[in-house]
Amino acid sequence: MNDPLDLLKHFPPIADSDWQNLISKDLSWQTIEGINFQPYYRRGASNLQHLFDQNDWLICAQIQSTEILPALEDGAESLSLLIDQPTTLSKEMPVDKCPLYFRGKAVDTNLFYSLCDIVKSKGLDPSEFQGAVAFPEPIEPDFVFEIAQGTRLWTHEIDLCHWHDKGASLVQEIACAFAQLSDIMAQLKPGTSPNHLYLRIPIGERILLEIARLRALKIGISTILQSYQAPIHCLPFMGVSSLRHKTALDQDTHMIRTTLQYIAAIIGGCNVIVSSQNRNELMIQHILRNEGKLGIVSDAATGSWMIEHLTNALAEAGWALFQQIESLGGLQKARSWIESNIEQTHDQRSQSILSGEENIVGGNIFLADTFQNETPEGKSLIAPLDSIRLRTETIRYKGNLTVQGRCSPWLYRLINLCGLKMDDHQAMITVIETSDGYIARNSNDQQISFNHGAPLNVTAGRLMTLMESHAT
Amino acid sequence: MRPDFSSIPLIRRGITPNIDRSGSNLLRTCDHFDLESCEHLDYSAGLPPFLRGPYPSMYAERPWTIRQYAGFSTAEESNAFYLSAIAAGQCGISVAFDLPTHRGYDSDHSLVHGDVGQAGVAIDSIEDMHILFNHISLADMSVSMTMNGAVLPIMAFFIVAAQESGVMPQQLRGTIQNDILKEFMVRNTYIYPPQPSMRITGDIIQWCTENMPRFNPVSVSGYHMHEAGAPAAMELAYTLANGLEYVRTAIDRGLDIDSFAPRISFFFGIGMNYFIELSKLRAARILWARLIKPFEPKNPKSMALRMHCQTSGYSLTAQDPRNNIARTTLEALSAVCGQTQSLHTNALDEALALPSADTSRIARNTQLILQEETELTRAIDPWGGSYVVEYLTHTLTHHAWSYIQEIESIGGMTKAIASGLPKMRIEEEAAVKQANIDQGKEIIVGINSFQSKSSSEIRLLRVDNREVLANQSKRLSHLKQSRDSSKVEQALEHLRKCASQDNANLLDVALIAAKERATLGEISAALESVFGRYHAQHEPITGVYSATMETDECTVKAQSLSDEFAKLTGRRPRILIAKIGLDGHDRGARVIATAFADLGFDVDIGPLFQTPEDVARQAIENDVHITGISSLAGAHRTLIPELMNIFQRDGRSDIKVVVGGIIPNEDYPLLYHSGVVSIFGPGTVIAEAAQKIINQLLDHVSHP
Repeated sequence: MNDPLDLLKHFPPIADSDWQNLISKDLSWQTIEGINFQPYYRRGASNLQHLFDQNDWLICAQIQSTEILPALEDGAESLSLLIDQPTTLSKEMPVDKCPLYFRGKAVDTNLFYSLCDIVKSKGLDPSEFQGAVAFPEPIEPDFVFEIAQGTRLWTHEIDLCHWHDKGASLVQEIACAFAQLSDIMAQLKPGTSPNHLYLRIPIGERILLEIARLRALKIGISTILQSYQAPIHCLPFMGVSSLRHKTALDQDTHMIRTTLQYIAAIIGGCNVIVSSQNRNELMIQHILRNEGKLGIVSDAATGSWMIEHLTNALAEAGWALFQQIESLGGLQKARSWIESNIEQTHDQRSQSILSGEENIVGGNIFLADTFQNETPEGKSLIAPLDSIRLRTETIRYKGNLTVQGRCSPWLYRLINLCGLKMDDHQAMITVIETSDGYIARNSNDQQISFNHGAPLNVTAGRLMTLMESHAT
Repeated sequence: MRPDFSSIPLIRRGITPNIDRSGSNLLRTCDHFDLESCEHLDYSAGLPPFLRGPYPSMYAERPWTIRQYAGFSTAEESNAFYLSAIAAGQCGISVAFDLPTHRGYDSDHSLVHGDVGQAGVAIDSIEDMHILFNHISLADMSVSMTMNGAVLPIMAFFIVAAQESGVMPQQLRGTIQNDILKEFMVRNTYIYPPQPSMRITGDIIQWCTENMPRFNPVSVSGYHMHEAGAPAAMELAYTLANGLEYVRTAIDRGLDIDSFAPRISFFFGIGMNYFIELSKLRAARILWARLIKPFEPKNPKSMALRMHCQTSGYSLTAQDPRNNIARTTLEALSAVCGQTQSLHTNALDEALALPSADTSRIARNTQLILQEETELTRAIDPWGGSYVVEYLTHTLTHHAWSYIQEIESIGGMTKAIASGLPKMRIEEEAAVKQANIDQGKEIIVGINSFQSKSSSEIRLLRVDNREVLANQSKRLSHLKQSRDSSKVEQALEHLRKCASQDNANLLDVALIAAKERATLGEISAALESVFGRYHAQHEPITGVYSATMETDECTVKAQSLSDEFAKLTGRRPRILIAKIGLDGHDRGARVIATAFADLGFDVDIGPLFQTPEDVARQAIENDVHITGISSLAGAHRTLIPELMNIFQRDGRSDIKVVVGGIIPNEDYPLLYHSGVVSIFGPGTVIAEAAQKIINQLLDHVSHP
């Protein structure tokens, strides 16, 4: 064969710029929101910089009506009460001490008026009292704005948790918030100030993106309000902790996430941050303010080349999706379309966590050896895995397992999830590696096969059934 | 009327507020700051002066190393702990040695029994080192060792243990702290005087440069200054000035700057002020590059500052310990955003005891969550450009530079330490901070505000001191029976000779002694016979605490009570503030001494490393009313009952004993039962403690 090597003919010289482009592409990354994220930004990376309000936030405790005093003693500066049953408000409500935020399915005009009566009975001016009486959907914005007239109460909530809990990405949440705001503004009488509106926003632990998301919301809201010729350009934000990655079986580890979420909420500029009934969560806010000094910095992200870039990217992407929703006639009309988009995001995310592609510490990797019997958090993507771990406690005979072949990281996770230990000598289950996965066999010769990378909860459930049948 | 949003752009002219270039409204303290005046804004990562990180791609290529500092009890127990931590996601080992090991004593030495295995692992010989790394491949695992005083025998044990398991010195990765200067400033685990100590430091740098190219021969530590109370600019300046001193030492030995400077690493403490701390790490890199540049390195890496960080122990509280999860998370975030190369995160119970397996897991999870769930590893210096962060970087850089200039004007850090200036400066800052906390100007959650009414149940790790001591003594005895004593003595004599002649590298000689199974205590004693043992003498500073507290009601009351006592008895209340055992952490003791002097007490401050017999003798000779013992490393359970027995034996049970520091609640009954009159935990307001003590004295005067 006469085939000259002739390398240059096959592979021309590579320019530095080609290599640099490749490296840049290798290092860059795209979020689940489709936002391109370079690792490095420098001066001039973002044409637009933003400066938002000072972030003196109110520390808020989510409580039952019987827990008011302890929460105030623990330094809560406002209280959030969930009203899901018709309720008669106690005259002892501390309307003279701090803002109160009422929300829930049973919030109605009776509650609104009785709150106003309590305010008046304490000699306070209702126009000065701050807080929220957030009416549940469906709402006639004109109606709730009318009854709130003359007060500073927030009566209409744009609840991003609704979309978040369905699995929305940050961009989808932003777009839905914009669209919901636009729907409300379109229903209000022209010239009405939307000063009874607020946003309830779940905050996750992707700290840079979360800060950028809060700032992106402010940009779009400002544009929408101006487009409706509203007299104000901003709405208050109430930040709440995202429960998406919460494992009920490792509460201390989840406190790490909660701390990161609060940091993002504070730096991103939430006006109120709600802590759950857990006293420790309230203390996190005090620590961040008093010891971490996060409160003395106004919009610390201003100027950060990376966060400004992300802010603009998220705002632009959210705006584009919002424009699509608007082109379909607004959120009400586009609801099923956007919900189907969100479902796809949810499935993608859920699949990624349940297969172990994405790590959730204490949830699908690095599990605690022991745990208390807690109910899995329904809004968490970890809940199916928590349920499996709780099931391990109910199996009468646990025993151990041996692996013939390679124990991949995925199989190792599965073994941990089922609470099994590797033991070649006292194994009740033998797992054999095959060309496309594994076969697990118990000593009764019952067996199951499963693919590598399959959803851990489903596979673990089958494996545990095999163990149970061994035990019986 | 619904607008047509398809034609409306996101940003409409006039809506989005433009940046106010003066920076006002950004930060209360940076009004009128002009960002454009910063000279550092265009600096990058991977290129001098490395403002944004020492490597070009930073965590995008490899995240920081999760390196948890741990060690307790015996080598067997610590080894088991390391193995489980590695299985649970830890990437590097960081060894904590117990205090006898730090101070160069074998576990069976008569002075050290209360401290064996308490604050770290007891390592007496190469046999212990073998056990410590059992089932851990030293060719693959990066090992960091916090050792300064007894650095020669520990390095010798490490190297020989590796060789005996088939790993050559050139394969070893990791770090030895070997930063003796800060020991004389704040940490106090020195053995020999400064000059021979610096010789040892230089010998180790030289040996590692020539034989261990993947090993960091010195980790210049600001952490301990941070813990002693130094604010960010001071920590930066003194750490870098120490680093500069080591560079000069190496250059004086004829080493080329590029042969060792790339292997110098740094170690910073990370406190609670998020933006200041992350800016501190950025400023550190610029300053180090600036300090090294005049040595004309050819390799840019010589100017790159690589660092390990540890979240602050000072910021942890014993009260409401779960609050510490939030503290450590914020501090870890700061270190990561400041682009550290490795990190230790404290466990929530570390203000009470050594971390348990469970709390160690939470501490490790803090870093795992930051790596796995925040996407921060995709970002290089994410706060670059932020007005606040750039302002703070600029300010800290310039402030620290002025401190460095001050040290240089004295003639460098060795001379500055001899003058006592850095230690005094740090103590002043610690006293002011304490006064601010005592006055409530600085809020510490769970301490001076938002106290919990219920106590939190945390299961603490307890080390059975007697069992460890028995185990170590048995192993030492076996070692001494099984080795060739004449060869050991020959090796130790050679070590003594080389130490006195200054013509050989002491690590070379220590390696021979380690191979012959000489113990840590024997090697240290051989050197001590030539170099002597260093004893520091420092008087407490005065006036700082009272200057900050002069209008405080509680302070005024304490002062008037001490006046009343003086009127009644003819002399002021006299207190001996003592450290007992080998615990050298004396920030708390020195702050107390400063404050008590300002509150009208006559204060005697005892030397460090005292036995119960020493403390009792000094208290009796000085005829004090009270002896205050500061205990932070767990030896109180053994040593304080011994002290009480000595007072009783000598007929001086009238001298009241109070105890402060880290005392777990479950130890209170033991101490009270032995005769201690008061125990003051972390968070005690000093003036209140002083009042309580004087009232007890007054009560004794009225009802003797």
